[in-house]
Amino acid sequence: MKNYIFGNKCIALLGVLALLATGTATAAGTRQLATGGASTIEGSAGGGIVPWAAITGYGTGDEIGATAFASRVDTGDYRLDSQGAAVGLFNRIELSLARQDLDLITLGPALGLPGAHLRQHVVGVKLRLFGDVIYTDWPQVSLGVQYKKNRDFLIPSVVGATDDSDVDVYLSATKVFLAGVGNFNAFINGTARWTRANETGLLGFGGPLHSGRRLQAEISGGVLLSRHFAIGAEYRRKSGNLSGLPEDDWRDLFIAWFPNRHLSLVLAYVDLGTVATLQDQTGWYLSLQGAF
Amino acid sequence: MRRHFVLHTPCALLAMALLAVAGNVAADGAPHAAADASTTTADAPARDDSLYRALGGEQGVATLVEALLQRVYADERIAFLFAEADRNNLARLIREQFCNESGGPCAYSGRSMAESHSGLGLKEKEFDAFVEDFIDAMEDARLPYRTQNRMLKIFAPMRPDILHK
Ligand code: HEM
Ligand code: HEM
Repeated sequence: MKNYIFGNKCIALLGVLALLATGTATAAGTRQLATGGASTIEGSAGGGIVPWAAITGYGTGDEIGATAFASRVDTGDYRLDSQGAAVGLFNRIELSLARQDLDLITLGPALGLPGAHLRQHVVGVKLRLFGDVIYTDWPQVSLGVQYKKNRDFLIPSVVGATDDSDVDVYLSATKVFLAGVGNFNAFINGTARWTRANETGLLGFGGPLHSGRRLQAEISGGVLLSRHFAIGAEYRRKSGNLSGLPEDDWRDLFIAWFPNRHLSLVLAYVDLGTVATLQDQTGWYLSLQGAF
Repeated sequence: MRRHFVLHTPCALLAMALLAVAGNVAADGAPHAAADASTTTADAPARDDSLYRALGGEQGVATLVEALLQRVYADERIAFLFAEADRNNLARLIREQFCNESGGPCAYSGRSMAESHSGLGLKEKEFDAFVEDFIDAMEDARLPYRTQNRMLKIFAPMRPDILHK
């Protein structure tokens, strides 16, 4: 309970910090709508589960942009709530914080642990190496790091995870094709992630099957149907390290709404496959992002 | 069966998007080559003027440029940059350029982008503000979204010639 109160304060504080940081910049930056992407469950700018090379918010090379988000994935057996905030500095560096809370709705009672949750914190840094999502012929390419700290390591340790914290390193390339598909603007993003996370870290890191990091491919793409709506799909390869708890790749189909520079809403149908013995985890994802 | 379908829809969509983009990129060479050729030979027959027609021809281009300049001159983020410019002359040159770039029967008589924007020291945020005004102007002119995208596709690559000069 105490933790929860602290947590909300922490988010509020982050929001205030973000506002202060942007107090001197023009409101919400000037880059074109949707070019900052949405917020992933791990806090980095991107779709819902796959990060993009884009720097969060709408700040250009002379501006600072900030975003805050809250999202929920609900499959019936699991519910993952994530909240966080990110700051984009001069369209070059992105700093992000997120916390995740996975409610083991079905598994908890089955394990004799009703109300069990798995929580994780993620600190991200992303550096745009070169390119611009819209204006260069080649893609925008960024290098990112996500430091993850599992906050409920008891269950992960019992099922064989070796570490409660670790670092994912990823390289993302994102390109927008103006009038790319039937004169609609289209985007494609590829991400290579070097990770040893089990279920993104919610089940810890490393394990009996494999202890070192492995490279995983992630891809997303979509089409902007209008200035305010995008549809697309994401795919994220995963391979856990826990024996007896094989993981599946994640996929989703999304529709994103960007009514203005301050707000975006993403709705997705997700397919997480088998998660910790429970099969066919499909359900809904909703994410709300505010940009300052 | 249901599961199989669910699993493969995203992949199929992605594959389609990739193919479409690849197809478009490959097909790109042709219209550009044609446009380049026709700027040297005034009335080359193979010129694709579909975008010019989608803009509404001479009248449509005039309306669009007027809407653009109204937006720009009223935009406090960039209006000051136009303080020294001759509005009528600028409108004429941009009309010529839009007409020419969209495949219409006009020659552009102005200076190169690098030359005409040198000394302005344009910042990225000023360029982006201009693009936003441009999109709003295309909305003002009630141009369809896909026509807007075709215009952006033509002018976006000029950014490096215009910025920081
Ligand atoms: C949105 C951002 C964050 C929120 C809301 C948040 C919230 C919290 C809360 C509620 C606690 C528990 C406090 C308690 O036990 O009384 C906590 C502990 C902790 N957090 Fe965070 N945190 C955030 C970001 C981070 C980040 C970025 C890191 C890593 C650098 C981090 C590392 C830790 C650690 C190491 C602890 C203590 C761990 C322990 O007690 O074993 N947190 N945080
Ligand atoms: C792709 C985007 C742009 C296009 C296609 C474009 C087009 C043109 C054209 C055709 C001219 C007249 C050239 C000449 O005088 O010979 C011109 C001049 C000018 N442009 Fe742009 N422009 C663009 C972006 C911008 C931006 C972003 C700004 C400022 C925010 C800007 C400010 C000016 C000014 C102030 C002049 C007048 C220069 C002078 O009279 O010496 N332009 N532009």
